[in-house]
Amino acid sequence: MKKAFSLVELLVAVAVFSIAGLPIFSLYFNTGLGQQKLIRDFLAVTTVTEKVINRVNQEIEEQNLPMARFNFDKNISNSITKGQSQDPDLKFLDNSFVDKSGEAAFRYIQHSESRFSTTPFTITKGSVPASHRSNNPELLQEVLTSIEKRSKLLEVTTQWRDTSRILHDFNVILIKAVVPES
Amino acid sequence: MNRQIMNHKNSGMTMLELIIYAAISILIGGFMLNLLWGGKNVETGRKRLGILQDLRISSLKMNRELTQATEILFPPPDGKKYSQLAFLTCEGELVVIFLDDKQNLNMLNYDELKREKRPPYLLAHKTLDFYVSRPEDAQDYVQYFIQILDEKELPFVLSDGISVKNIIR
Repeated sequence: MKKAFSLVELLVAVAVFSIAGLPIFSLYFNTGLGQQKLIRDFLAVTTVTEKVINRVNQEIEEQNLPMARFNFDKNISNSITKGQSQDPDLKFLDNSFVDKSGEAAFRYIQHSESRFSTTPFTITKGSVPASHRSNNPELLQEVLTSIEKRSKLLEVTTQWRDTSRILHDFNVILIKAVVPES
Repeated sequence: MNRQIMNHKNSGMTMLELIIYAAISILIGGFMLNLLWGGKNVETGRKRLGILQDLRISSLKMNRELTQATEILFPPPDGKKYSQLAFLTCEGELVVIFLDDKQNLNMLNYDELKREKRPPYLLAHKTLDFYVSRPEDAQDYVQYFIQILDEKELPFVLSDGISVKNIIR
């Protein structure tokens, strides 16, 4: 008789197993599903950000984006999700998202903010491999100065919150000559 | 006689014991169901992710082909939406991306089909919508929209755009 479990022992064992096991399994499932949602949202954000930076690149190629020559930082969330920024400088982006494609891509993302900025691009002699440096340091400096004067660092950043309110961000950088060669 | 009566009494269950056993069984059953249900959800989620990842790979394949194109034959640069995309690759081969009547999004290299009978490359299953447009003010920029259904029959949208580099004029 003493070798068997009593009812109380069995009850305690089941209770302990349940209390210990349920949170662990719950954590596993919730984490797994949370990560899957994160990857889904990440795919949507990366493609939309890629679309924006490619459009920016195209505008500069067509010399349609004179504002790229200056430093600025603009919120482009309305352009992406509504296709209506009310900002004449961002009309080209509105045109790309007026079909509500951005809104559809961000369907499952509750809170997001996208920004488009340009900052000066700096390059030093150390950026040029030693084998490519000429024996004329003045000429090299002149080339580097010319690159710095003509180029900008353009950046598109999207920040979003997942279902657990954790903040994520993704950014794409484009370094581009924005002033035509004289 | 007394021993017999006692043995008989011990062989059954009291109502309290029955209730406790039932409660334990329900608890264990509920736990097992939760385990199975959660596992099924994770498995479905994995399949959904697989579909989305395949779509992203297809998008990268489209972008790679498109960025090297030498001529966009269709759609015209008028800012309107069209359901097909036709272009010439850097090798001068005709490639068409289209949605068929089985909701499959395909990429067909017409020259490879003629030469090697190679079937179209399947870009995505269960495609609800696919359209392409070229803005009037950026002719060498092609943007596209793909809406698919995932494993849970929920719509997922991929919206991308690409600058075409090798246009010959």
